[in-house]
Amino acid sequence: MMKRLFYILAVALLPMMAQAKVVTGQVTDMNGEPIIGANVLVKGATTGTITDFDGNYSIDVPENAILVFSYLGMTTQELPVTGNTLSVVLNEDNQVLEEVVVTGYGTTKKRDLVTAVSSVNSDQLKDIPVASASEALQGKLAGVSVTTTEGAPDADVKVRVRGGTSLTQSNEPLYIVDGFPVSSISDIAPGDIASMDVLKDAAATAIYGAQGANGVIIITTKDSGAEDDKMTFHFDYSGYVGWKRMAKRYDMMSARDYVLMQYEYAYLTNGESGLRNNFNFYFDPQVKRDNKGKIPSSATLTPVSTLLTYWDQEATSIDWQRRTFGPTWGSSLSSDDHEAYSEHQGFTSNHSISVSGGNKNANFLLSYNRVDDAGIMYGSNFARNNVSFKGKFKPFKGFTIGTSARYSNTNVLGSGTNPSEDAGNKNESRVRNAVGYTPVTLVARDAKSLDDYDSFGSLYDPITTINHNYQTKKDNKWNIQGYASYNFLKKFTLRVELGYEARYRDQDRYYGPTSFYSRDTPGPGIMKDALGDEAGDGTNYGHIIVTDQRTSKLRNTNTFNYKDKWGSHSLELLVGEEQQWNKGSLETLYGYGYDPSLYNGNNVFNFMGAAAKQTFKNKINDTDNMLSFFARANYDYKGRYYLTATFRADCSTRFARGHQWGYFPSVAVAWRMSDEEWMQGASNWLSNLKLRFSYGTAGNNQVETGYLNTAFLIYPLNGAYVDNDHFASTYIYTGGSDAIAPNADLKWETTVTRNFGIDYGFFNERLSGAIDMYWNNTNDLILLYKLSTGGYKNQYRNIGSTQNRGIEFSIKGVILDHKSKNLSYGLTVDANIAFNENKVVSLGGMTDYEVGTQCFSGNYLTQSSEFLVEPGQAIGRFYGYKTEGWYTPDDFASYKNDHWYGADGKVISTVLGEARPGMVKLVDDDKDGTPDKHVLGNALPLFNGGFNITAFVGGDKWGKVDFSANFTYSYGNDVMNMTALDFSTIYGSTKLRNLNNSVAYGNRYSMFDGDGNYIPKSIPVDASGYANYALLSSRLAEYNANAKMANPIMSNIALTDQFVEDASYLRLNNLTIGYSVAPKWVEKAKITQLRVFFQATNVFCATKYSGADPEVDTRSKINPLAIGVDYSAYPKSRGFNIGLNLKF
Amino acid sequence: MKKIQYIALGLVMISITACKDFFEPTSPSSLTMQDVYSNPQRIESAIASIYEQFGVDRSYRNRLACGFQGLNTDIERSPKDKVKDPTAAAYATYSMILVNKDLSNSTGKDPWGCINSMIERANLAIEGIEAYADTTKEQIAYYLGEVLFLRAFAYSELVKLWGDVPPRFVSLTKDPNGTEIAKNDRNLVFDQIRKDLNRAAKLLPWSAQCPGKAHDYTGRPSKAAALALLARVDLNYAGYALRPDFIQDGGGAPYKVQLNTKDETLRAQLLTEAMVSCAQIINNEDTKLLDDYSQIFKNLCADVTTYSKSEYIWEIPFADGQRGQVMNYNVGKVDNCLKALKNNSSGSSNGALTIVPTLLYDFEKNDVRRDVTISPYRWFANNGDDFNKDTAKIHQAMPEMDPTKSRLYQRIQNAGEFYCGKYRVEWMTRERNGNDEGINFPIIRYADVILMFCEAAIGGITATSVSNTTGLDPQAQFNRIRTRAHLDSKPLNMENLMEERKFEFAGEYIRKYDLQRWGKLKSALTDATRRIADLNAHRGDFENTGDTVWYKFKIDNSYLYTGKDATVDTCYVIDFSTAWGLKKDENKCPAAYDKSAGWVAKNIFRGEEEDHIVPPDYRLYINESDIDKRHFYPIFESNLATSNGKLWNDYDY
Repeated sequence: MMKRLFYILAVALLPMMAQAKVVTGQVTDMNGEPIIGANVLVKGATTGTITDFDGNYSIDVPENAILVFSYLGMTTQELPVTGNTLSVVLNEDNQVLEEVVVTGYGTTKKRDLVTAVSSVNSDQLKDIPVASASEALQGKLAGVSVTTTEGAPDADVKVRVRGGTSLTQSNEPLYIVDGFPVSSISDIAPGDIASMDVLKDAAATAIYGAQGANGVIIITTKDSGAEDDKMTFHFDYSGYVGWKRMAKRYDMMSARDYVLMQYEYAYLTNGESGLRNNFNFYFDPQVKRDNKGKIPSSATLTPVSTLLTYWDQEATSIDWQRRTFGPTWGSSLSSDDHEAYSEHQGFTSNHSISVSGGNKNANFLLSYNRVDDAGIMYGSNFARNNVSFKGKFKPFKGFTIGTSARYSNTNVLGSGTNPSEDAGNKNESRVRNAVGYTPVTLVARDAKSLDDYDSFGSLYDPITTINHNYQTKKDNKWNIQGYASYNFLKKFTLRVELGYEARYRDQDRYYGPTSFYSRDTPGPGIMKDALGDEAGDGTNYGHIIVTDQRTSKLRNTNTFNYKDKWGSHSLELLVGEEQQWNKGSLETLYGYGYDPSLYNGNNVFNFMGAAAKQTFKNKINDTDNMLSFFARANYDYKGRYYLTATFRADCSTRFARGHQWGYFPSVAVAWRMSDEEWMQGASNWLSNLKLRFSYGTAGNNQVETGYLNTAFLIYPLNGAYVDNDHFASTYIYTGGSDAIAPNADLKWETTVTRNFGIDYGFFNERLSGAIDMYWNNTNDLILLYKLSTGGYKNQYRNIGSTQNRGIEFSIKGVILDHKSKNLSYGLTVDANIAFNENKVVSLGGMTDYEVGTQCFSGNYLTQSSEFLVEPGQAIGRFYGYKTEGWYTPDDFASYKNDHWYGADGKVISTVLGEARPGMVKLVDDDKDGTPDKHVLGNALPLFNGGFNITAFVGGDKWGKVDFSANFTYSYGNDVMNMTALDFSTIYGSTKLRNLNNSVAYGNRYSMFDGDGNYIPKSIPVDASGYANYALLSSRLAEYNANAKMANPIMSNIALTDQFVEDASYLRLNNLTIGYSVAPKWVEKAKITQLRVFFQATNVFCATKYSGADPEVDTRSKINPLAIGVDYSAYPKSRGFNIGLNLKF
Repeated sequence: MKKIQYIALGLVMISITACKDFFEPTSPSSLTMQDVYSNPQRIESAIASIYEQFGVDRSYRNRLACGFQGLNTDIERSPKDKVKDPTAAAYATYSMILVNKDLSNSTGKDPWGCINSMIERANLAIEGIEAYADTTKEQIAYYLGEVLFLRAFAYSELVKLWGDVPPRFVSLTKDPNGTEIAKNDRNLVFDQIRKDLNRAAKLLPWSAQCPGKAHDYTGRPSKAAALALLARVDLNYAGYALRPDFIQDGGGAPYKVQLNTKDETLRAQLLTEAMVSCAQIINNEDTKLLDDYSQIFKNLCADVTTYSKSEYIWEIPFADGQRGQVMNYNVGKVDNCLKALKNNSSGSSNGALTIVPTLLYDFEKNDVRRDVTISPYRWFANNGDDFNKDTAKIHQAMPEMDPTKSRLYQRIQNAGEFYCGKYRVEWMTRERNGNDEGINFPIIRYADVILMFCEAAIGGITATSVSNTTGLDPQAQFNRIRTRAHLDSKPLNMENLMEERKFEFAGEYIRKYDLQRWGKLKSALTDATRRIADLNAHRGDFENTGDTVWYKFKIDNSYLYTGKDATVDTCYVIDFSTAWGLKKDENKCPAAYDKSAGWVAKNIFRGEEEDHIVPPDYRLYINESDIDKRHFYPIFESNLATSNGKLWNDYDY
């Protein structure tokens, strides 16, 4: 309501007219608060005024005039003038105040909703310091789960409406901005949003047909709000600056512990005789070495106890985690931190300016927003500019022309931002490397080896690695729309819309010589130096990959609307037609062989032509057009009985002829029970009770394209497979690299939804909310069917089905609400909770479906089956081994020469390696010698939701203090903590990596004393070399009396129950305290609002989860079913902001 | 106001009709069948994609050309079978089960998939060329012949490795229900590939006349390749195989080693066709035997792919130094030899193929093929500590050099670890740069054609009567092979022919399939096992063999790595001219043996704890009774599970 308060300009322009009498008075609301800007008109005349800041007015009136007092949201009153003063109290008009909800090609009053729709308005969004609109939805709406997958400034925000339906295809909801479907809403400034409406059931989404199955999020952006004849003009500024720091560190071992762990590892895996090459080589600074750094067999090795002391006390250790991510709150930046890590890192700022003005016939809003977020990680930087314009013009009665244009430009810079998908094998992963990198400077290093990508013996420190993984991403988006609408004969409206969106996404990646990409690519022999001589293989060079992606969408929509009311009946009919053209292309340039002494990530993109070799490829997207016809009828009787029916027919060229048309009907009914006469007795406490039921279908056409027909693709041969000289230079084949067979019968996935809902309101809506129950079935799910006949490996087929059932509650209570001149206060609490039960109904004959996180490869036993997806069960079930403690000397009978023998005199072989005391024991139910796999947990929560508390207290004399707190929670979900697996095991290729403190000496079971003495060695042996076993057992038991963890050393690793953790949490996402100065103080400066605020983000997170943050999902980009995996996630931060809102 | 309505309605109509192809799904970045097959250059590119499948992971690149098939036989053995991990060489020891991570895994990378992809690509190419190209043109005719040949080769490999398979000769594009074609009698495949190869032989010219990039090149087929493969298929078809008595959906039919066809007339036709095909090649001047047996393999290692200089008729053409691990897997083990051994700047040696030691002693005296075929040593590069821990002894054996310095040297292997010597890094002429060294994998050579001619002409293993109308004398042809080996003539009969093929082709992945064709796989393996025991005990045929090899080193720096950053400057090789103990009758210490003069004595049969060639450590199969159940790979579990019941296993898998 604030947006139309200030009418100074208009008042100044009012013509002064000679009148008979001056009337003055005050307009107040029911609480005695003055109403500023209320309209005071003389009935039947053009004369009028508005109230001032104190609600006072003064107007010249003729004799016997009647004054009309009106204000938006208040019941209009007409009062005859009887004296020289006339004060009035306006009552709130609940009917009017109720929000309007956008339902797709039209709006409905929230009160009249028949389908499941949840809404957030700008008031709820305005103070939340987020960069993206979807993040702002977090915890606000029942059944809409929003997950920020990790802590990076440009991290993916995963939005799922009622659980998501598809197994292999996109589960992203459809985003509609001002009526236009857009690919992403990450570029919309939250401050520009007037409201967000989420359509949840198919009766609501059916109007979007083949695109609606995953829910629809409709965003309406702000306009000038001018609805009067008078010209208005506003200027708004709002902004904040903030500082962020890493919220939680990984607790890693100290330098001494690390060296001791490495000693244990070298000793146990290669024996005492292997220490020279496997331990002293790296950690012995005193031993004699030959000119190649190798330790000759004759050299005397420094005792381990001396080395432990050395690394503990004399050598400096480096906290790479801190160098990469900076300190946490409570410790300050110091000279210890890498010179590159500056104060700037972690600084954010966000500034929005908007100018709006006009009157009801012509108005505009122009806004600009700039976000800078340096990120907490070394080398990361994020900046976004948004410009948007919205205008409306009514040249003559009934005719409206509107236009809106948005431009956004997002830049993600720097090496710290390589995507988390890279965190897996063979790629240098930012977080993993920073956390696990050796804290001491190794005395010697291994030769570079491709196979050694997990071991830090041959790799480079995190800062170098980050610098050698440089990238910039630029995302430019334009969106221009216009519409013309003509209302004639009062009941008919014809509307034509035309919109165009273009998006240019450029990604430049530089791989320095230390990156795996450079060491692996390209093959030998192609590098030539400046003179054309062969300069060896590509491994000492930098390489680039530049991708330019262009997409555009052109859309035209034409609707015809009829609205009528007779007696107690009201009817609204909508028919429409729409067509869309989507186009896209992707161009990729590969440049090889940049001399690293001349080029680095900062400059190489200016001289791409300096490559020793370049290759290029491009792809123009398949035809993606859609033609749609749709219709909707809304009927209600007495505002008590409602019926809505929709129908949409879509024709999508993503599918082959014969499968292009789809039909999506839906029907919904509602009954406002509270308006029945027999309920009148309850009207003093029951203000609204409405029952709703709906049934409908919607589709998901966001599926992989290009698999309908035998498509022949061209690739350069490049000597990759066959002798270059005797073949064509390109090869042409079908099905892409993973050999997917064509299937002309593919069609979209279809979801059927039933929804039953209750809307309720008590005590004149002081307590209100909704309950919704739903049951969704998705059929024709597209699965990548494996095929061993026909010469292809896979084929996409519509063969699966899933089901989601759930119940959602939302409640809002206005607990305190008092308004008076001297003291006003209010307290509102709203909360929501959603339960969803997911079930895979069918996998089209397949018994299970393989899901792999691709976090580890070699030596990882549970590689492609970390999730068990099978019919009758939910998705997201983790699948691995159960553990039962660890082996102790009691499990063996004798010991000789580093081997432990069981009662049968043989060593015990396990899948994790040869058993020894301390090795983790896997549960083997059937005792067949092979441990059995079990379902270990589930990534899906039992329930989740959020709650918000807002409060204010204020008085005329001293301004107003406001407070808001936003909580989110999730209960019953597990996280697969791959980071913990990574950092609490050590095996062949992960040697020389630091481990976390949970397995530090003292916590872990160890066969060494604290000084590195191998306990079994101190035990006397008999003539045949067997140790005195009783003595050995008791010594080990004594040393390990307090062990809490198994020994981390193994030959193979596996997903076990140790790494599946309950990740239920309650987070205080955001806490804001604001102070608005009393209007009087700034009135002279023509300021209508001046507010300062302080915010804290991610204030606390109560959880039992041991990892960095329980809200994490780093692998679902690799495979949509690999949900709830914590692996090398960019750490989340805790931040503080100070901001200012200013309005003229 | 009506105007506006009309305008709006008009807009709708225009917008839909303006683009006639609004409803047409297209993929601008992909070509249509017509685009591809109406243009010779693109046909060439499409054919390249068939070859590409040879080079992908787990195909011929590092599996089928690399000791994962063709083993074990009476003369060749996979060294992978260790008692600790018998599954590693299950395919070689006739103990295969339905799961094998090397040959089939859930990622879909498997030889089955690769060969089937080749077939589908070939199906598309045949259909495309026939529909859109002018096959009267020389180049197009060549392409059609080439694709027919490639499909025939792929199918012959499928049958070789799996027995009965789905016969699918139409692309999925033409027949979308092609995925529903079930496993069927392999004779259906034989019948089709005979047709295809006959057709290919007409379309393909001799190598010297081949057009374009295929001219005088071993990596692409010529008429000779089609005819040679046809002869091979004919001989197989006319011979024995492990097969079910009838095709039963889902498997379970009784099975035994039996003739592929009981139709004697057909067998005679097949043998005649084989004989005539081989004769055509022999009569053509294009092909020849190289005079020097070792030159065949030196050529292979030196990338000689010029047809007119090679004995090979067709090789799988891996990209030089880019793809294919023939050398990596088939070369004898080289330890720590990076940048010490000639041409070996990086890459490992898997040593997946060893020669059964009886073969060493079975070669006739003077047979030049013996020392080419068997390398009883392996290369080391270090200061000698792998040779001996005692520096004094090192100095004695390898004098003239500081014992602490690195040198390159050969070391005699134990009897169980004789590697095949036909693939040698030191014969390469370019640097081996990684495991994918790109040495071609030869499929068929002229000597095979000659011996196939001989075999067909004498009626094969079934002694079918065949009338020789070719004008070529089989005995004279047989003598050519023996003469080249520096051996005297021997009468041509099936017995001698089978022996001759053993000595000629050892280590070339041919023997197992020969034995299958002759119905002798099991007897050859059991005989060999008995003879290995005889050799170990030096009795029977091996009475006059000994445990020990006596030898002396000499310096021969020609084997040294000479490229960038060479690390070693002295090479000690075994002086085989004086070495003693590697032949029959060399079972006594030679008179020249003198420890102080650097002579070394090595017991190659017995180690400190046990003998080197006795079971279970050394064995050719796990269970004798399983041999005739396990000639083929099973259709692996991951393929079975994704076949909709169209695939199944027989033979009690």
